[in-house]
Amino acid sequence: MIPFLIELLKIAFLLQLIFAFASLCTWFERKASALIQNRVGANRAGVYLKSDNFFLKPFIPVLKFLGILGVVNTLFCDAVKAIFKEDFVPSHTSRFLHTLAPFASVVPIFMAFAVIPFAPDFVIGTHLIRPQVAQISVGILFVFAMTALAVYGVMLAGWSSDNKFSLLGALRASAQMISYEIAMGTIFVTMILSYATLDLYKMVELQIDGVWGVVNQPLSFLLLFIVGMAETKRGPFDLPESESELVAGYFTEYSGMKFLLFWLGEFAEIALFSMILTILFLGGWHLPGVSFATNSLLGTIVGHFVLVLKTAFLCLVQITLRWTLPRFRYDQLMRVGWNVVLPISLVNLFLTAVVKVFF
Amino acid sequence: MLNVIVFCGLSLLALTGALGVVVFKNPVNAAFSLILSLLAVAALFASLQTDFLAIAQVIVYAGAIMVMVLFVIMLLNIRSLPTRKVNAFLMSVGAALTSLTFVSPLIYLLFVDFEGAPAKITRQEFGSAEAIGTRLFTEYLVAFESATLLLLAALVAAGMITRRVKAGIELDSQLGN
Repeated sequence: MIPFLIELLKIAFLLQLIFAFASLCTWFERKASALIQNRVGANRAGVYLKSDNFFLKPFIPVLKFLGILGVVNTLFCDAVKAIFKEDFVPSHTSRFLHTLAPFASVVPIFMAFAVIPFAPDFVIGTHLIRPQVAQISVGILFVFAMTALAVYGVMLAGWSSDNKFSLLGALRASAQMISYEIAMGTIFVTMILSYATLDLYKMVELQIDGVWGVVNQPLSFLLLFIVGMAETKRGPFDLPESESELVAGYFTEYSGMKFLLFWLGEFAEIALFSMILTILFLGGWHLPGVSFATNSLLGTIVGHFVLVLKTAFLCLVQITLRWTLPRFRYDQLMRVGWNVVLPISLVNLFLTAVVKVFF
Repeated sequence: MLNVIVFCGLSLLALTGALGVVVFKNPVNAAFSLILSLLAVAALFASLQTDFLAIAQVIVYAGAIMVMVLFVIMLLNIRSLPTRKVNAFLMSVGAALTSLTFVSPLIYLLFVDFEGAPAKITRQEFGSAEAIGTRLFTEYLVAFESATLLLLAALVAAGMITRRVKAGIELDSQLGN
């Protein structure tokens, strides 16, 4: 019974982590884009709150402060707006497939988080707990498989919308995701070769004992960062939803909570790639120069926050890049994927293998 | 007990998906039921503790091949199969013969005595990445390398087909680029 409860608690904790990252990204997307574009951004909701209620009163200044930062707008107003919007489904199309699409694009991303270790092991009573929902031996391949499944949501959305813009957006998105997936697989193989394990937890342990992955494999880090941005269909790679050409791409015909689900999936994917980068290259929960007793609770808590801070930093870098760089043209995007990123990652894989064998 | 329930549920899901492929008139629905079936088979592998096989099934079949199938369906924009007049009798005879071919091994299996067989896979390494990798690069090295050659040839062929050259004239120059 207790092991079962521990698993449930892990899942609940992981879910709140995903939602926290998604909210953080949403907030930063709105506020940082405003700062970058020399606007003010959301700063009204929550500022004019008044209450004489004994229990609410102490929170009013906090809410006002969060309101000025735009947090209230992001967390509360956006969600309420989306819930009360009309849920539009185009005629001439399967209502079931149209509804399935946003879920099909969110669920694989959430599932990929299952193999991610988010803190070092710790002991409570007699239970040794590993903060990782699914402790399978081939963790990194599971991430790859799940990101491969995320294509279906996009394709389904574009096809079931029965709309030229949506279909074009979906074709662009899926072609882009498949193209960059190959480079992603090559980089994953390079890292598997470099660590000689498929287990994400062991990879972090190896980095704590040795050096961070980014020192050994700086090129892989850069390539995976680029591929991650292309896989999330963001930044300079947001061709599938380029508003000047395709209205909004594959989610043109979506509104309300379904539209929000696509965005949740996108932000969760940003967090996923940032976490993968942190675990593969930035030492996971390793804080250089600081060490704790093995399996101590303090080590776990500090380690978790170190991991979260590193991940959040990478998320923010991605969003900043998205609002800074101009969009590629579609043929340029494909050329970058096939003629630049893939050959470099293949050469990188070959060199890693040579180094592994001869040194 | 739980194992049996999980096994039955997943098998049922796989069979439902397989049935959907045949029953659905809309090709997109059929493709998605095939994906459901393939994922259920992957989950069956996972329930047998063979993580690597399960994930290989997802990556190769559900993740790669089915995407290509869907691409073709979406690009050609096949709406649904036209309903044709068919000879119902001949069709049912053909269907019965075909299904008998595939069902007869299963019927044979019903009469096999599994008394001595192990109830579950006891060897830990069965289906793991290490076991499969070791087998591929020792016992089946020649077959594995020939398969890679075949794939390479297919890749080169695909590259040649998609090159924009037709009868010695660059298509680009025809279009005036």
